[in-house]
Amino acid sequence: MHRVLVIDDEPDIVYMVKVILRSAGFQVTSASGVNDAIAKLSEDDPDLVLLDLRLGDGEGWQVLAHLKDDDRTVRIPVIILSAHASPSTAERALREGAKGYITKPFVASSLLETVRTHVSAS
Amino acid sequence: MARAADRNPDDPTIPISAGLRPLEAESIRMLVESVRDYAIIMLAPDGTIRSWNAGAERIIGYAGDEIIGRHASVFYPPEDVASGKLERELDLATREGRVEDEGWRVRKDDTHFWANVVITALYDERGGVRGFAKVTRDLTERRQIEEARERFIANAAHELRTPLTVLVGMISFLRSAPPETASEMLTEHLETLSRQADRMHSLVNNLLDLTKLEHGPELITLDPIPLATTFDRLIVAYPAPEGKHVVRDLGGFTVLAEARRLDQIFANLLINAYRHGGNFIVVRAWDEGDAIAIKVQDDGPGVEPSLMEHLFEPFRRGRSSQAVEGSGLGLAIVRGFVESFGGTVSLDRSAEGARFVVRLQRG
Repeated sequence: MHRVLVIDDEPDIVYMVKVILRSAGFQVTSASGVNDAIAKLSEDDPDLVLLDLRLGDGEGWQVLAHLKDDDRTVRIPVIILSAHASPSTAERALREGAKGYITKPFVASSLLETVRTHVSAS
Repeated sequence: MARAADRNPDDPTIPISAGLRPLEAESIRMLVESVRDYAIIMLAPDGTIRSWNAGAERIIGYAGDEIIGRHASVFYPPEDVASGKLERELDLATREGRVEDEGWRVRKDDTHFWANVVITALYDERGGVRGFAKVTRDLTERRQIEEARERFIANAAHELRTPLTVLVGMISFLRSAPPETASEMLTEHLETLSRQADRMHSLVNNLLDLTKLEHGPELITLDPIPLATTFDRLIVAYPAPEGKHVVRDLGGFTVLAEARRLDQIFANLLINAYRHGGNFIVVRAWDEGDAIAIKVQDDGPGVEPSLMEHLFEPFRRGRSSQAVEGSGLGLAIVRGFVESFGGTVSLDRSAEGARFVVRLQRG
């Protein structure tokens, strides 16, 4: 069973993502902030990370940089979940190592498709 | 009357007075010099400053005798100086007759202001450029209002997008569920859907309330309203979450207010205390002569120092409270409504926890 870590500071968004991914057989854990996320990355050893850019105690960019700096986590595919719809933010995400970018709001099928694509590629 | 071509080309008064009788020329010079809302200056063809008026001194800060003779690039930020912005503008004005620009400029004290600048070329009778008239307006305040509005809209869109994301995600998921399980799943997730719809509803109401307040004073009728009955009603509508307690001591005080707005003020302060405070919330009123003061105090961690100055502005929330549900508009509405009654609201910085004090006219 593939493990997905969802990092978002909105409890109901985390809830929604968990409902969708669990229905498709993924094991889902969550973190609500930068520090929490960094701790969970080593505890949960996820196969894929869904990352919001605006977090309670900082920005998703910090988590992305941390992930890409560490040999143990550098290979984990990261999909950004963001309310920023601007192309420049998406370009920056890809440049800094993210594998995909989903703009909020999104439908269940596009989330599942993106997650499946990147989990199987890894 | 001397023709313009006979005059000394270095005389800054020539361009605007050319062809005029001396008395008219003197009147116009005095008029220009006395204008205070516009910086009106004359430049030589190479950009050297030749004349300076009262408006220029007021907006940019230099006195005439310290700036005349210097180059006008002194008003431009370093990056514009490096890129030769003024020279380009003067070239364009020479070719086209006039150039208009909006951008940041630098005052004598190094502060920046947002300027609207019109540069008009002044030609001699043979078509050669004898200088430029440069008229500058300080539009910093308008620019700040525009920026605040853009920020406000961006924040409002972001706040709306969160509940929208939950609704769109959950509904699309439920639609794709097998028919035999869809109804069961809908029941299971209905509470989440309903909570997010309520959140959007209250955010939209808050946005409308704030927009109305921004449009200036609305005609509202103030009535004497007893505080105790207001709070009796509010505690039923907004009960304390489990484990939290509200202690009330409102005496028999009556304030001048409009009932719906008064409810909203204290509902927002109570919700704020429920979300960010500890387990005890104290609401107490006392007499201050003309005014009645009402405090809503919690025993939580208090307001972050970095937030205090902007606490009552829209979309200001503490970092630690990002995860706490809320639109970021509650306190802005509190202030707007309190002020619409001729009252004040403040945060008592000396208090432990957060202590908001509302002062309203005695009813």
